[in-house]
Amino acid sequence: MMWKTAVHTDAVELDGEWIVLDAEQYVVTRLNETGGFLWNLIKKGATVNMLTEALVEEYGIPREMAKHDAENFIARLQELGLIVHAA
Amino acid sequence: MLTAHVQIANHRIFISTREDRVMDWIKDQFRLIDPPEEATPDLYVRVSSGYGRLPEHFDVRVRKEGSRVTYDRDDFLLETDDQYTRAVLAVYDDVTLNYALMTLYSAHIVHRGWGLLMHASCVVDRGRGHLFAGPSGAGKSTVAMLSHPRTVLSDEAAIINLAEDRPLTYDSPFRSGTSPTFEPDPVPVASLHLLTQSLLIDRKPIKPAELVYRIMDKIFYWPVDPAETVKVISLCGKLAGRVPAYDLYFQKNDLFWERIS
Repeated sequence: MMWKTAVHTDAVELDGEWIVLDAEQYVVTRLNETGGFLWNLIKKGATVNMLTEALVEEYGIPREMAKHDAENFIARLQELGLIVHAA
Repeated sequence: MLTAHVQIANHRIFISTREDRVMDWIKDQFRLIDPPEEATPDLYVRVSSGYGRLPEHFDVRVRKEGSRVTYDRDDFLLETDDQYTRAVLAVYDDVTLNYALMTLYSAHIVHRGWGLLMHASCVVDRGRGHLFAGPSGAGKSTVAMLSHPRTVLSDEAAIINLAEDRPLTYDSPFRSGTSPTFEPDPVPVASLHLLTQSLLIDRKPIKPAELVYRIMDKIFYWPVDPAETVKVISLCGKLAGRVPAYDLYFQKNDLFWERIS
């Protein structure tokens, strides 16, 4: 399943950390460097598998751990309303 | 019809009203300028009084219908176009007039990507502006009072220009206790402090991302249109990336200036 960032969101990067604004709820969420890395991929449209591969390649972590992290990240962002299914 | 040209930061506002008392309120609170010969005003506002009642609560209700944006509180009704350049305002009294114009001005400067209005006092020390932010009761006005004889550019709502590389701050007419200086020239912003009253004086740096996270609720802004609201985070990001910020723990005396200067 392909995910993309919700249209009412925007993010700024400062010194390796990311702040995402939900402009409908006027709520901000902080992401660490890895979160920001994944956010940028989702912005272009990404699946859990794509995020998993990117984490393995970028950070050299085991695939199982990367998949677990990608799934958790997607679940959390979905819960916060920051991402939606890509059509 | 009575008219006046008012200047806030580097924006010109044309105000019209049929009422003498409204014009008196404007003259008391804002810097009047001669009508500019060439430049057109940034903002046109028509004001009337006698609207509503003393508010029971201070929530502003905002809605957008087509290209009209309406801000509605018990004591004022503000209707503006979605470019935030032409507005009609009905207010209860002079205090309400100031607050409603602040509401409009905030939307105007965010829309243009020009800057922000922040819940902060601003004090000038050696030609540079130091911002002190916090919620009501945190000590913004106290810091301004304790900083005498330095110039106080704001005691409640600081005007911050982020359109250029170097953030600037201006005399603010949106005050809670002190009077505007009507000083026309801006000063560069040297620092931003988030205030905590304490028995010990201390100053600790805040990382830029944490700063954005912590100042979003200190911006005077009433979200209605997500396309506009996203501009706020980009402006906060500019501020955080360009101005050093600190947690400031201060006593009720002026010793904190030793940590800043």
